[in-house]
Amino acid sequence: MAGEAPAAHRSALAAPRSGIRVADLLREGVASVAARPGRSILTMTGTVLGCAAFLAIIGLTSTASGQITAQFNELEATSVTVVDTGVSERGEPRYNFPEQVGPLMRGLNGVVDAGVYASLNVSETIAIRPQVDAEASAGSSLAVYGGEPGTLAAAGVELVSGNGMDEFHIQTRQPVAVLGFAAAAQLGIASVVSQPTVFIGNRPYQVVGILGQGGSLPELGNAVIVPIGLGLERYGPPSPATPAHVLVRTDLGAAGLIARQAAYRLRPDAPDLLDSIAPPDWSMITDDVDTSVGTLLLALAGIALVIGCVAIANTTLVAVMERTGEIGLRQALGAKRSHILAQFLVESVLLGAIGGLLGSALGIAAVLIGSVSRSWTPVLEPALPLAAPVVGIVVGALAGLYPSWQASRIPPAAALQRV
Amino acid sequence: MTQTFEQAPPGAVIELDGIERTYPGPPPVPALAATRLTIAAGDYVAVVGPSGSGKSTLLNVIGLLDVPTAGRYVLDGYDTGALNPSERAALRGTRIGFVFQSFHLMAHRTVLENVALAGTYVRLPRRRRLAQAAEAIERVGLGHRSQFLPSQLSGGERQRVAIARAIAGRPKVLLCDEPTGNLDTHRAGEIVALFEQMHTDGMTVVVVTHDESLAGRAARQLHVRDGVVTDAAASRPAWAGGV
Repeated sequence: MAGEAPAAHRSALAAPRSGIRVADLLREGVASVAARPGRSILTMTGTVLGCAAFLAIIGLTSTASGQITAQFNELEATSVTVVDTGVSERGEPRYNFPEQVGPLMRGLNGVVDAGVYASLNVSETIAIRPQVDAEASAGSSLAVYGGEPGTLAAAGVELVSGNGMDEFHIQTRQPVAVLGFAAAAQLGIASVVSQPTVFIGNRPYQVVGILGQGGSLPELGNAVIVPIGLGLERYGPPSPATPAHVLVRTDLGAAGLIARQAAYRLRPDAPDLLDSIAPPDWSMITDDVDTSVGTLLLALAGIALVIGCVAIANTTLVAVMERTGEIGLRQALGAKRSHILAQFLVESVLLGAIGGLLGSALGIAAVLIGSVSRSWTPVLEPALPLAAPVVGIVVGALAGLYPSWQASRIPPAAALQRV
Repeated sequence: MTQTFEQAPPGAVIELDGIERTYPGPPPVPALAATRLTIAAGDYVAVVGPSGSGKSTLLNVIGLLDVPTAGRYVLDGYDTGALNPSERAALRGTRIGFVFQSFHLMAHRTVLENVALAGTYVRLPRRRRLAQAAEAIERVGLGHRSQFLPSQLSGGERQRVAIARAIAGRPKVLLCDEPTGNLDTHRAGEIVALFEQMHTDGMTVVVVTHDESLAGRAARQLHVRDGVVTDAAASRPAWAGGV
């Protein structure tokens, strides 16, 4: 330098400029946060809890509604059951459905199939040969039901053998029977090919079909199903304790409408004699849950985040006062005001981001524990765990703005004197 | 740009011409009266004076920590009045090494990390900062302590770490504010010896001190009283004088 000075001074344009590498800025921030681990963790607590609560609430809510959706399956959603009161206006046992329920209901728009089923009062034994003596009875545990072709279709149960009943059997009251799978096994009938006959008491019924397993009417598995008209004629109306039902299979979404129409369709003269049962509308129930409890909890999570924000702001403000000497030193080493601002902002953002990450982990753990303990499938929007650190960063940045600005306002000479 | 400085002697590293610093009132407090001062490269200058005399203000102006209210200040050939804040900060970081009474070491960083902070704000790569830090630590004789924390060091060692940080970036001027103020006589002697070694190596050293023994060993003494700087030794060429 000694040799170059005497003439004109160097131009200001040639002067070096202050600057800091991004990696160094981040390294300084990490070092400062890591230097006081206890304080950093305490500072983050609010953010951690806020983010964890935020994630846990959203996760558990979506898990719960996912669970409800799973229960709310198609078979249930399209089932409407119409129940006979089983008594007349004067309180006597009576069968109140009209004849030919199936064709009548199928006339409604939205009905896929429908049919009646009624448990009949049969005291006679059920066997594959006439009742010669009471000792020979084999099928005493079997039930006799009156039914229609539409009943089996609406229940979604398949025939494994034979063609089942048809409308001709119903209308002409043919002595035919369809066996549930358990009843067929008990009677030793595997197929209709040999044209087997079952006897209820001494009355023969030709077996025209054998049901498989499954369907929404498990009680039919153990039953001998005869045409409803014939059954009522021979065995009388069902007891009011076990009244007749009509099972209606509807199109998706039509269940509520059909439930409202069914009684008027079947008994326009006396709809009060029938009760319709529609599947519950789960979506309305979960909406209620989401809007009331969910909003309250989310508000609490928001409050926790605000507290987290204030905690970070407070700690950073204290740190600025404590580290005035360091601020002066950094300025002496060439830092500009913006570098001081960036330094403290990086630290508060780091606190927020780490808090958000920890909160994210805690929240996911809460969702997992909550759903596993009830054997539920955890459901969580994949973007949410990523959103939590972002929320933390925003919280940290908001919290750091004022203290960082304060730090950058301290003149270097003053910063170095205040120790 | 002005005739005054074109006639400045070769090797001048600090040139103050009519520098004033008045703290805004009310009432305005003049801390430094119109000061003319030249410090040559390789000088070893002690600034002495009572508290409140203005020596801290002088130090802050020379160190670019404070902006004078009037006058021109040329540091290492740069007219500092014409610089923007970024350039002033960078000049501060590269041309001046600061040594403070209270060391200003970061308690949670090792000796090496503390010294390697020098150069951070002029975008020096970390590898180079670490290399120059290690070299500076060797120069102050603390090579065996580079992984220690400041809390594990004695006061004298801490001040040597601070000096290592100040010289790591090879500044033109070592600017020391009461460097022995927190040390006992023995440790202070070590530090003074270190300054003399720096001076011998060609560094310009400016020491603000109350310590008569420290001031007495400097080649040149400046007295500050009521904001007026006077050269104590008459054994200097006229161009080097104050006032």
